[in-house]
Amino acid sequence: MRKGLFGRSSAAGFLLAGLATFSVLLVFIEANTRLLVPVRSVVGTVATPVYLVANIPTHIWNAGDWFVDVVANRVGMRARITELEKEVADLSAVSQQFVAMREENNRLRELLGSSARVPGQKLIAELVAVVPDPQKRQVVINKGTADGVEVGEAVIDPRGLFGQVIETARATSVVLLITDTTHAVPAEVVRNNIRVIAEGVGADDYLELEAVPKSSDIREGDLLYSSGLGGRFPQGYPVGTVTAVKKERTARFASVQVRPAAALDRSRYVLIVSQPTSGEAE
Amino acid sequence: MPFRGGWAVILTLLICLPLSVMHFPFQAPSWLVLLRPEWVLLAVFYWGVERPDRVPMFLVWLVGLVLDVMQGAPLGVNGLCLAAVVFVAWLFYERLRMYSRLQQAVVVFFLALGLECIKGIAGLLVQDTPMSAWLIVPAVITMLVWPLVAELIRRCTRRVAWG
Repeated sequence: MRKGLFGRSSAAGFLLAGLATFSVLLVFIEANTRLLVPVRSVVGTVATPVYLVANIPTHIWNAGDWFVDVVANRVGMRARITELEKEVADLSAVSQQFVAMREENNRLRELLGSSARVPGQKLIAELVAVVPDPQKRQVVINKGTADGVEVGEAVIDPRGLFGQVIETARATSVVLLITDTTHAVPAEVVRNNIRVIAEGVGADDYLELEAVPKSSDIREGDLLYSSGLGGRFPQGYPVGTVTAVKKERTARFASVQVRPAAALDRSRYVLIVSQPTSGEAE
Repeated sequence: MPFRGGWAVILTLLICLPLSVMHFPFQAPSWLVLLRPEWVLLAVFYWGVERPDRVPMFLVWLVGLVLDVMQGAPLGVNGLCLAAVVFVAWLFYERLRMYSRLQQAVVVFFLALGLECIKGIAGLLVQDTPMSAWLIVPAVITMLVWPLVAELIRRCTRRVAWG
């Protein structure tokens, strides 16, 4: 045997064997129990400064954008402000109607004997990192347990359903996007209330509907909204639009592709929606 | 002082951690992620060969734990692989120092490939993430940037007093 580093080569072997055993043990514990969730949370909290540093180029880039917008492009800025003001006016008109309609809807629900829907709390968060694994669709946002974020809360962006919180640390949390292969969201077709489950397949630009009978009435262009079944997602947020329906003779189910409504690869700001009634766990 | 100069090792690791989660400030296609080298592995290998007495295996394992959380990998996977890298460096550092950067790059390739495979297998077993043959790409990229990174660390830390 060679004489190793300062004569401690075999000690190194034992150390490696110990660490390897411990690592494998950790992997097994995590695969089978939920004991390591707090550990992940603590390590995530320790890693928060790393995210802050990793986000510096983005801040510089945005500052550059800001410079171009504010200093170099005043005219364009003015036009944009006018445009945004118009948009706000439009949206506030819609939201005024929305308040009235929500009241009316709740009155009708009362008549039907079902409980009124209470809007949940919303919290704006900024995306600070993307989990660097092409097989995963996960992002890290800058709100955590300190801001009251909890595992399982739904995340939306201005256009639609974005994902759900799967891990929380003190100041950050990890969001699983609806396009991840391990994600599925219960939805319904706006036109005829057919209930479906939209599954992520790991592609950025489409979801697939699970087990849709070939006889069901789903067409291209149909809008899907979250159905609220399963208790994880609040009801009524846009999930996506049906882009392709294939019914092959040999296949058991129709294959339906849905383009997500949310700008999953572009949104920098998202909303965390907490549900007033506690949802059941998976 | 057994760890005199150890701050250079820790600083290198601290620089590599954000590099391994940094994302583009603008919209970028998701396959670009594949082109990211395993920065931490490069740093650990460099210091393991150059200063084996200043790279504690347990510290490297802890860094791997942080990496697991940031990459969404099962806890312990990166730690295990990085500890194995330290072990290889500890065993063969005399021989590895004699190699040229290109020969070292081949070793780096196999270490990185091992890391990607173990990550892939663990992901498949624990989280049901599909494993693809594309995991060879980060290993190749890691190999390609090794000579540059090694040279960069060497030049930046030339004046460190190791005691």
